[in-house]
Amino acid sequence: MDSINTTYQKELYKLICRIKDIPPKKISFDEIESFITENISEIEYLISCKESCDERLREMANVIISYSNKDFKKKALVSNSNNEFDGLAVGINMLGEELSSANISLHEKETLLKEIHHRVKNNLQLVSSLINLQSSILKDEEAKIQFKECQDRIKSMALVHEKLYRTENFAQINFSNYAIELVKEISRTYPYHNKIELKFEVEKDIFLDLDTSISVGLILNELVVNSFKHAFKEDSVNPKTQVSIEESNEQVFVQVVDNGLGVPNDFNLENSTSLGFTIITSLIEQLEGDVSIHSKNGTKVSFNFKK
Amino acid sequence: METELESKEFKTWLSDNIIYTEVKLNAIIDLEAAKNNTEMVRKLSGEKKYPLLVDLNNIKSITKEARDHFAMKGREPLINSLAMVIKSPISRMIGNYFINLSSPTVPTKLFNSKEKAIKWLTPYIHG
Repeated sequence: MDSINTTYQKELYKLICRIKDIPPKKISFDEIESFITENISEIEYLISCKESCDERLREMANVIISYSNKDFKKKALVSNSNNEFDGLAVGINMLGEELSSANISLHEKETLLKEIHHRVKNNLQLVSSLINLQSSILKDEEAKIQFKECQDRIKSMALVHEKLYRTENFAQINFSNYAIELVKEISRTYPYHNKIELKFEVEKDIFLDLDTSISVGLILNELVVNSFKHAFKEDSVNPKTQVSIEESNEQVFVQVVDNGLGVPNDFNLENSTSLGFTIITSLIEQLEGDVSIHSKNGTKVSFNFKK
Repeated sequence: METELESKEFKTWLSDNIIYTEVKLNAIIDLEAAKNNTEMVRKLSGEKKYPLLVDLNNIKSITKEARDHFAMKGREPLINSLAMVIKSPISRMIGNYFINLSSPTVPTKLFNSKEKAIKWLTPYIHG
């Protein structure tokens, strides 16, 4: 041994110093060489033990990596020696079984939740179709309008459930995408919709939970329907409705603005007897939010609430 | 006279109002083996509920189904307390797992000596 130049040799050097109880650097290479020669079989045994330990640790690490990839089929090897490695291997295997079982049960719950949202959406659609069918036999035009508005409200709720079962996240939906889809869907069913320019200024990826999404969806539905129904006439010039949504400091700000006829001067949101505005104010109250309405060159309704 | 029951994986007997179960060397306990053991305990206990001492030292492994079975969830336990003797590395791991993850429905404790386990079980002996 001419020099100590590998990690292995350094480790061996330290080990021999420890065994012979000699302070480091006070042992010569000759002494090391003779120590190795004298104890070669023990050293070889220790090396083989170390290699075997490394191999078992590597194998167990691979099993843990498989579990992290949700592959729970792999098992760590358990020998008949019943040593500390075997104890560790049994522990890893049992942990894998527990994880696998929890993973299956989670998957089952997700599937069930998906199925429930699907069914709720289908049932809401069925209710909406029944209302449609019922309204088709009505003669009174005002009653037909009321039925149609009711249908829109149900559709806005159904869309939340549809969004939920189409994504992997059942706790929240991407409200930004939902709002755009909802408003486009509403616009399609109203007269002059081709003439009305629909604009969106919606911040991307605002996520809201199920209850909040349904409430805000219903409010948005009322505001957009109001705009389409009352703001414009057939001969309105460049009719425009804009929906803006943004999030700041855990508050969500929603605004529906149009350049239509505006609301009457004496209009007061709190005293309004219309069903639409009653729904809006009570839902905003539920959300503990604030709402304001302005009429100047059209109507601007703004509301905000805490996420 | 002590009656001793035996399966491929266990040796089980009743002595001084305590039921003893010893896991055989390198036994792998699956659901079937676990159910067999339950049956042996049932035969020994008859209508009564005894404390149970399980010597896990020689165990090699146990499946989740067997652990869940031994946890006695959703069924009337045949025993009123459970002491497990764990000295070997594998038995130590299995015993701790069983207590922490399977949450058995009767008072359960781990021991590294049979004498201490018997002492702990003694108050659960009812005639």
